[in-house]
Amino acid sequence: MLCEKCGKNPATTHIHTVINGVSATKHLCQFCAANQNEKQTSLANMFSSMFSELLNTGAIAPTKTCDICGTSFSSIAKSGKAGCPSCYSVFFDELVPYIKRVHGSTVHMGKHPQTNAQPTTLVAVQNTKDKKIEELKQALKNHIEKEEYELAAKIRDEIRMLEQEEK
Amino acid sequence: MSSWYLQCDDDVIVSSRVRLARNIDGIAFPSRLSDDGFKSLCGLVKDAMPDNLGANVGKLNFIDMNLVPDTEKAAMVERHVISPAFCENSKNRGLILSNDESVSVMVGEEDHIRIQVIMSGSNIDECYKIADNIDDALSDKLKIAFDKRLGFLTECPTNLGIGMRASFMLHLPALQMSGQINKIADSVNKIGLTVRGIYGEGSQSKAALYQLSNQITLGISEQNAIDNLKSIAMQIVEKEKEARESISRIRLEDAVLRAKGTLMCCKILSSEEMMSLLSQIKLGISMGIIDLPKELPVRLMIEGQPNMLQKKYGNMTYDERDITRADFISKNINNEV
Ligand SMILES: [Zn+2]
Ligand SMILES: [Zn+2]
Repeated sequence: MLCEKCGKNPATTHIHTVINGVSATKHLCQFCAANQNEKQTSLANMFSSMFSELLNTGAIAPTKTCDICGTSFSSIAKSGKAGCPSCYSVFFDELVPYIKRVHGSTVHMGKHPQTNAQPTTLVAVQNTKDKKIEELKQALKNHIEKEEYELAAKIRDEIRMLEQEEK
Repeated sequence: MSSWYLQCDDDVIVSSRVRLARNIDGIAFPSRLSDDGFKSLCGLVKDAMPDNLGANVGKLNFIDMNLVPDTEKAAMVERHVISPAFCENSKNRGLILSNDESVSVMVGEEDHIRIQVIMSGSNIDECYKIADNIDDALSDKLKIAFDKRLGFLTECPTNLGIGMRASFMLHLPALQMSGQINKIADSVNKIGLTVRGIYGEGSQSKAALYQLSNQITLGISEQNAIDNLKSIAMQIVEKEKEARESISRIRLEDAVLRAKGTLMCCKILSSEEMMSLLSQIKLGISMGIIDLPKELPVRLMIEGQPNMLQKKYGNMTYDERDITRADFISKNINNEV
């Protein structure tokens, strides 16, 4: 079989892709496989850089927070991490374009969990922000005492991020 | 069954691993959870976990990470039972472990629950089957965070969808030597997979061990992600075998026999040198240059790691460790010759 892109060299790379349920197989030679331009960089880096773009354009409504965990969208944008599972429904519209850019899709094609389990009613595991801030401040003190300034700076940023969120 | 690293006898595919990221509805993700929150989380998961997974896996034990000594924690990282991140942040965290350590469930890593199944050789389907069973058992008792559109909800949006990382650890000395490994890394990147060096990147990868794993988790099913991974792994294995045949035989014999000689006679051995020489030994066994048990090199790569040695021989300084390592490795090789 010849490469379906250049039609010159023998196809040595057979790429199966399934995106949004449509499966396709590409037969490429080694050169065309290497030159495929759907280049993807490291996903995690992509996420935080895309978010910071968004932050700079001021497109974020700063006041909305998640009922369960108290996270604001700017915290998600800064850290690249959601605060709790409910954040995904609270900030769905804001998050979807970025999720699409990372995965090329926003349609789950995999397993659906079978469950009748009830949600947990433990308050201790929901919004623990005040406690978390207390713990981080203690850790900050410890790091400063041990002259671990790099770690201390990281924790100071985390504390700031949490304190800036709406109460 | 015994630990994965004691039975790696495949020429190229060292091990197979599946990880599933799962979270519980109504609970803040780990980076926002307080110490008490982690304690409650561990309690919930411990109660939901079945005690026994039957024939293939057997009994599951819950381990309170507060009670695990630092050396043992670091040794767990070295034998790939837990992640380095989990080792560093282990306060009030929990670990559920099968006796042979093929199944480990980290509670309170980046997600509430990280299910891992690891096996020697090419066993990715079996790994997924077991991980899937554990996932079913947990979602029987816990309301797992899930959205019809976005799939399993995870702290980092890069894991949304199936929340699965399936991977092979591959031994690719010939592709590394010929410089083809970078080209392969580039091309698998374009189709939603990654290849990265496990003990250092590129030419720095002393052991020539690489992890091939899926990157895309949304818009693809578990089975398709695994099939993609397997088909690319098979192509890489073929390329590695071709590359091995094109190495000059006399140079290869020279390198392998020198590696064996050094390991048999050395008195001081750093872990970098050990990894690089054992990698040559593994290649030499595959190519029929030396006659040693096929599973020996990977076993020694893991057992010769710093904290694995300290676990066995007690705490040591760096220098003492390199001497102990030389003694341990040379005895093991001499025993087999
Ligand atoms: Zn071509
Ligand atoms: Zn939330």
